[in-house]
Amino acid sequence: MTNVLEVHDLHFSYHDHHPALRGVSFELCAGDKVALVGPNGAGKSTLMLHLNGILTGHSGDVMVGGNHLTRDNLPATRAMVGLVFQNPDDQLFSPTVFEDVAFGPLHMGLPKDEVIACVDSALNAVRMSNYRDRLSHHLSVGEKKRIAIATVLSMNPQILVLDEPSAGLDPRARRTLINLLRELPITMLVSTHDMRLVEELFPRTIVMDEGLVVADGKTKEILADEKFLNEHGLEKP
Amino acid sequence: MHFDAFDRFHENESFIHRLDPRVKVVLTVAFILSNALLPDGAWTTFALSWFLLLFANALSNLGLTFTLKRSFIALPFALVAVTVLFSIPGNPLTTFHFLMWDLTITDAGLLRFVSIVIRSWLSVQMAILLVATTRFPDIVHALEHLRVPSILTTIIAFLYRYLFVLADEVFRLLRAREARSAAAPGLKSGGSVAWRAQVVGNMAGQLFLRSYERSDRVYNAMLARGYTGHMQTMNPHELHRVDFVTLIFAILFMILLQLAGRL
Repeated sequence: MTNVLEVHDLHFSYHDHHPALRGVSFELCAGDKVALVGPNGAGKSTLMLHLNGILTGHSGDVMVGGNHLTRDNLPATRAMVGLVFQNPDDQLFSPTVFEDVAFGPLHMGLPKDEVIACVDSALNAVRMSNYRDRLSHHLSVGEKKRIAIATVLSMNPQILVLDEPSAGLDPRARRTLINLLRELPITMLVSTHDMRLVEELFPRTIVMDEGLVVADGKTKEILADEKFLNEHGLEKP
Repeated sequence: MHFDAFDRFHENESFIHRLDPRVKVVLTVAFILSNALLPDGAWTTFALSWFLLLFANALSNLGLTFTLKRSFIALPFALVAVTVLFSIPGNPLTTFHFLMWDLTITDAGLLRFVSIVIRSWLSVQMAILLVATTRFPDIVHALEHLRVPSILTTIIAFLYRYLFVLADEVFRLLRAREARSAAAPGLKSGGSVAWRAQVVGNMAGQLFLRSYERSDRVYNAMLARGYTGHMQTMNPHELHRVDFVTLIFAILFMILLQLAGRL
C-alpha cells in the first residue's frame, strides 16, 4: 500500500528555543485510522500544524501524497490534508454554517454549483444538513465540532487531521462523534486524551512524549502495557 | 502561543526602575508639557531638553540610545503637522504644485514644523522610557493615585490585559483561515477580492462578537470574586526621600528650561 503521509526526522522549536519536536518520524497508509496520544506539551498539536504547512520544521521532511511539502505546493497540500483545530471557535470564522463550510471550496475556485454540492455532501456526512443556514456562534460545542469537521470535508481531503475532537463533549455528543469518525471512509490522524476512544476506534496508535515518538504500533499492545502508559503520563482505559 | 509583542517593559535594575511610578508618571507628563510650551526655534533649549532625556536614559541602565532607536516608530504621526509648512504666513521659500493646489512653503512654516517634530520626538522618547522602566500595573496604579478617574484607569488596565488575549484570538482566526486556504489543480485559487474582503469582514465581526461575549464572562467572573469597582493591589507604593529629591530637581530643571527658552 502507498503512504499518503510520511514524516521523516522532523525537528522544530518555538521562538523561546524550547524544542517542541526532536526528530519525529512516522507514515500513514491510505485508509489508516491512527490515534496520536501523549501528555500535554508532548508536541502533538505542533506536529499536526506541520502536516499542512502552518508551521514548517527547522529540519526534516513532510511528504504528502508522495510529494515533498514545499512553499510552492502548500495550497495543494492544504486541499489534501484537512486540519481540524481543537477549539471549534477557532475553526469557524464566518457568520453562518453554510459560509464556513463553503470557504474551502470557494477559495479553491470551484464553480458555484460544485461548491454547493460540496457543502451539502460535507454537511450530510456529519449529519448536519438542516443546520445549513444557522449562525455558527449559537451552536452547542458538539454541533460546532461536527461543523468544524464539515468545513474541511467540503474540500475533499485525503487525510483528516483532528486535534482532540472529543474534548468537552457530553456523552451523547461524544457517541455521535465516534460513530461519525468510524463511518468516514478517509485516512485520519486523531490526537486525543480520550483513551476509551482510542481503544474503540483506532487499530493503530502513536505515542508521543517530549517531542519524540516513543511508541508506534497496535493499539491493543500499547494499551496492554500499563507501566509504559504510566511512564508517559497516560492511563489504561 | 503567546502574543507578547506589545509588552515594552524591560526588566533591569537601575535608579529609574526603582523610582516611584507616580514620580515617573508626573515627570513624564511634565516633560511633555515642558516641550510643548517651549517656543518655536528655541534650539538651545531643545538641546538641553534632549540632554535631560539622555541623562534619564543613562540612569536607566538601558543604554544611551535606547529610546532613540525606538522613537522612529512615532515619527509618522508627527507628519500630521505637515500642513503648517504651507499654512503659516511668512517669507516664501519654495513653491510646488500638488494635485490641484499650488503650495508655498514659508520660513515661518518650516520653523514651526521642525519645532513640532522635535517636540514630539523628545516627548515620545520620554514616554517610551516610562513604559520601558515601569511595569504596566504600576503605571495604572500611579494614575489612580494621581486622581485619574477610576473608570479611565480601569479601562486602560483591561485594555492592556485583553489586548494580548484578543491578539491571540486574531492570530488563531488567521491560522484557521490559512489552514483552509487551498488550491485545486487547474483552477485559480483565492477567490475574488470582494469575496476575500467579505471574509475578512466576517472575521472582524466574529472577533467583535466573541470579545463582547468574553467581556460578559469576565465581568461575571469578577463579580463572583467580589469585584466592587476598584482594583486592589498588593504593592502600595511609598514615596522615599530620593523620589522627592528627584521630583524637585527634575521639575526645577524644566522650569529653568522654560526660562532659558524665553530669553
